[in-house]
Amino acid sequence: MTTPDAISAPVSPRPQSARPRAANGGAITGERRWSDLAVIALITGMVAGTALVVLDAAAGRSGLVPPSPHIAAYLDGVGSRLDFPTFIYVLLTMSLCFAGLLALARRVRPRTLVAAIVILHVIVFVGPVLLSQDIFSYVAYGRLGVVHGLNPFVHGPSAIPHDHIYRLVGIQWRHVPSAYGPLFTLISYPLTPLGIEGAMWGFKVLGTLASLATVWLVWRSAQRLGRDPVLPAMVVGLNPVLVLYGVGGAHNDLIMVALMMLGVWLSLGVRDGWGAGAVVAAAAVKATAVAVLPFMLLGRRRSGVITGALAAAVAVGLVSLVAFGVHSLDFVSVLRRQQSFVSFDSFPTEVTHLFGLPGVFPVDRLLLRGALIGMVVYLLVAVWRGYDWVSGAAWAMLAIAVTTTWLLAWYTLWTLPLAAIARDRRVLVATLGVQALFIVHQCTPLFSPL
Amino acid sequence: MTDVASSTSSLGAPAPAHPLRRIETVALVLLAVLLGAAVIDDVVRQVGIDKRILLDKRTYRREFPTAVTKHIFVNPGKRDTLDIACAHLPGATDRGCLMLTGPSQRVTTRNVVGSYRLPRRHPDKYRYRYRCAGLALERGLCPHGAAPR
Repeated sequence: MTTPDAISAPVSPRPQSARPRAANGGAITGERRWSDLAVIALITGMVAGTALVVLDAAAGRSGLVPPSPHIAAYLDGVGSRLDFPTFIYVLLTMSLCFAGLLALARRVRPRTLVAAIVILHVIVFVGPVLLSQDIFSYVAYGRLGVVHGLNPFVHGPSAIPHDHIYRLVGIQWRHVPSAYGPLFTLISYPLTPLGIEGAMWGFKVLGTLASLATVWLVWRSAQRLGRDPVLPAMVVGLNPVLVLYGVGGAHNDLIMVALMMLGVWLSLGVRDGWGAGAVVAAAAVKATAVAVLPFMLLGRRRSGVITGALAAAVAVGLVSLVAFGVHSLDFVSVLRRQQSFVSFDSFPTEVTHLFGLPGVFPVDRLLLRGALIGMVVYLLVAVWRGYDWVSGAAWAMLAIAVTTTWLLAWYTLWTLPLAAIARDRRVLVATLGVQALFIVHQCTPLFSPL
Repeated sequence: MTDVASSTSSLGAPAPAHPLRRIETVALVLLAVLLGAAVIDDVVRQVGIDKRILLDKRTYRREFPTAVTKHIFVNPGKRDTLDIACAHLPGATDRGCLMLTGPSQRVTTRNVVGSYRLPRRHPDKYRYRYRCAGLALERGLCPHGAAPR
């Protein structure tokens, strides 16, 4: 039985590669040539699909592109209007290419992979905001504090109806104060003087860099665990949901995930205090990351985790208190309210439909909460008994995504980097399976007569 | 969860899987089957609802040829296939609502089994309904015989 320390102790930064080498002194065999061609073809498919979505989205007038300042006007006229079937076909094609690349992971050269990941990120970065209006909420909360002198944890964008950003925020979020952590709100403040378009570019830069940083941290963490880093990095960096929904929407979940993975990487390098501090910082961006902390604590069993977490919590608390006063903790109640929302894509909604019920009722929420608590307790006990803590944290994140009644595409990204480096391969299969089911559910309009 | 390390011996030869790990895997597979079935069922269900909405609008236009298709709002039944289609009719001071049911496969329209009226700009709630007929009358959906003041 492997002990928790043995699972996560630092190992040689250059693990023995599992990639196949040609037996005849490196000469390219026929098989190798074909697999290289297949890899290039699959990557080309992903790049072409992403480019098509971005160029078509830049043409505007699409239900998949939120009404916004025309920040990608320089791409105008290249593509045609992005319609839903095109997007779904591209998403399906990219998913198939992604699956093919995962199957050929041992044949993918690290440089090819890095180039592909960077190209995909750059293509999405230069385009308009895709598939979500969340970025306007981020900008609005920054403007509430910096331009209008209002506390974003007390007031929603509806407090500034005369500000242009108000009309861009999603209708259901206009009256809602910030549900994000105080650290993220503070990050948004320096971007506000850049204006609405400047702030949007700022969040796009942050989201793209955070996503690339996550890939790098996954790579380094896999090396620390003595694994070939290509497959874990590929799982994250080429993931169609991450590229189109995550980076495309410049979601702050990417910043949360990057900080969370920084914490995991530091902890795997026996810098537990700093690791726990980074996880607390991630939770101060978006609260979900806090779920990783008890697994880190039980898995590492070092006092540094507690001291690091406490120190970071005190630091974040003090800074928040100075910046936002006692209301900086109000986001917790906003989050609680948000848990009562229901999205059509959530698994609980689909399961209730399967059993002939019209939707999720309060009693179902209680059952879901009970199931989630039960799962987390089971996982914590398992970690206490020696189960890999990264796998435990990944399962917990996945359980949160599966049991929430408010599931959005980018919530499936919380688990992805943890699952990519988890010792238990089942969690990676489950995470990719959940993403696949989400994509299948998106295909409904393809069969609809409307 | 059972540690995967326990499934291989120190010599590298595969060891029998831990019974708890097997139970976990079975539970995960069952959960995956449930979620997969739920997703497929939801796609089929939603496509069926969309098909009904299309037929409901077509039926509404058959009953009220002056109705504009894009102004017909259909509220699909959540527990059954009884849908309610309402629309502002050109020139009318109120909205006409039809209760529609019946199959949606291999048909061009659905059956109208009831109707009622709503004042313009009022939600479809019990207190605003009037002039119920058919199933709406049987089910007592209207508090008023005539338009409410």
